[in-house]
Amino acid sequence: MIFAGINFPPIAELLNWKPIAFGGTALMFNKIAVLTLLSAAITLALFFVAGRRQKLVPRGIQNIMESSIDFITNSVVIDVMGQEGLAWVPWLTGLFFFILFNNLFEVIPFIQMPATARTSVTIPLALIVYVTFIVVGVKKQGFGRYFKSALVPSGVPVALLILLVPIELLSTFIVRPFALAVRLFGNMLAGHLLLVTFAVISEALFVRSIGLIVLPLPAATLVVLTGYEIFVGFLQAFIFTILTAVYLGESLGGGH
Amino acid sequence: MLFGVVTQSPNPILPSTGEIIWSVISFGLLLVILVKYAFPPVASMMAKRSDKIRDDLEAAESARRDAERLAEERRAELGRAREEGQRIIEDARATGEALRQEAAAEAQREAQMVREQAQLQVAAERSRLILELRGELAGMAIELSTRILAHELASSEVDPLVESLLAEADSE
Repeated sequence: MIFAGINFPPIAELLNWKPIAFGGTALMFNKIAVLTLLSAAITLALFFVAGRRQKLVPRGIQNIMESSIDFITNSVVIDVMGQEGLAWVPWLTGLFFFILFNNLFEVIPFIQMPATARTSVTIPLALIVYVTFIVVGVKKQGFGRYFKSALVPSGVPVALLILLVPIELLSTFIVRPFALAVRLFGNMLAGHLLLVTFAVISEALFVRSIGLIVLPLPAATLVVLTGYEIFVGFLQAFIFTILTAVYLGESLGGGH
Repeated sequence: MLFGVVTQSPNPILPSTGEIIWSVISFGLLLVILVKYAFPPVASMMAKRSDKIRDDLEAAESARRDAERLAEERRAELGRAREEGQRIIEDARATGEALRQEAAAEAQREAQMVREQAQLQVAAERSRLILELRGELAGMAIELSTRILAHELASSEVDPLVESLLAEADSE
């Protein structure tokens, strides 16, 4: 889209990537596929490096990975799920790093695309979490008890249940996965579009001498927004992980 | 061109099948490899470290308790040694006093004994001298009597004889 001389690319051009391989098939391999594989590979590489250089006093990568595990163990698992949730630390750590790297690709030069700005990434993740917490709840509490604890709040008058059960059904089994997927996707897409917008404006002002008067503002905003997007990347990964922990904790402990 | 849509693309919000499949494969692979192979070494190192820290803290606590116990024992031993030393000094003082008194008593006793022996010796010597004198006086009396009888000396001559005999006895 061209607006007042600024060539702003259409949103579809920013998000729909051309196939690199298997074009036209269900296994179409494009930039998003590369990024998701890359984030998994980076996470695994960091853990393998941290695990290989085992030192009593951790340094470098070992220190970073151990601090991350500590953070997820104490601030996510113990706080939300209690001691029972400790078995889920590796799973939640993997989820956190997968989302984090997919988010941070937004600010990595030459990549500059968060894979999580695609619903193709966030919807499967949300669905995996959704299936996992339901399976865990059913396995832990039994089919009837799990759905009863999830849908029927305790200590509520029977008359109100007519109203509350549909609300709980909607909130737990329909809104939850949708909200998980949309929250992450929406935040990352918005951030990506913001960065693209300010990058396009800065670039346009670079080439138009008259624009030099206001050049520092969009360029500086771009720098600030890049920093902000790094923060958002961490925050959204944390939010997705902690909400997953909350849902799993409810399934483990009976909720309500 | 102002406000114009350049290209018609698929809805950017809708997911693409290929991307879904690859993201599920990526995440699935990540979880399987992470949980089975990559996570355990890091977690075991962390567990080992926390075990070591706990063990070290316990060892330090135990060492501190031992040190306190030893210090308490040393204090008690020192107190006992001090008391023992005091007792030994007092015993020595008492023993010294007893020995001094005994020595003084012994000395007095010996002095008394020496005095008594000396008195006895003096008395014996005196008796012996008296006996000797008596013997000599008896001998002199006998000799005088003999001389008187042998020479039938007049009584006037007896006195000088007696005198000379007595003078002789004195000189002896």
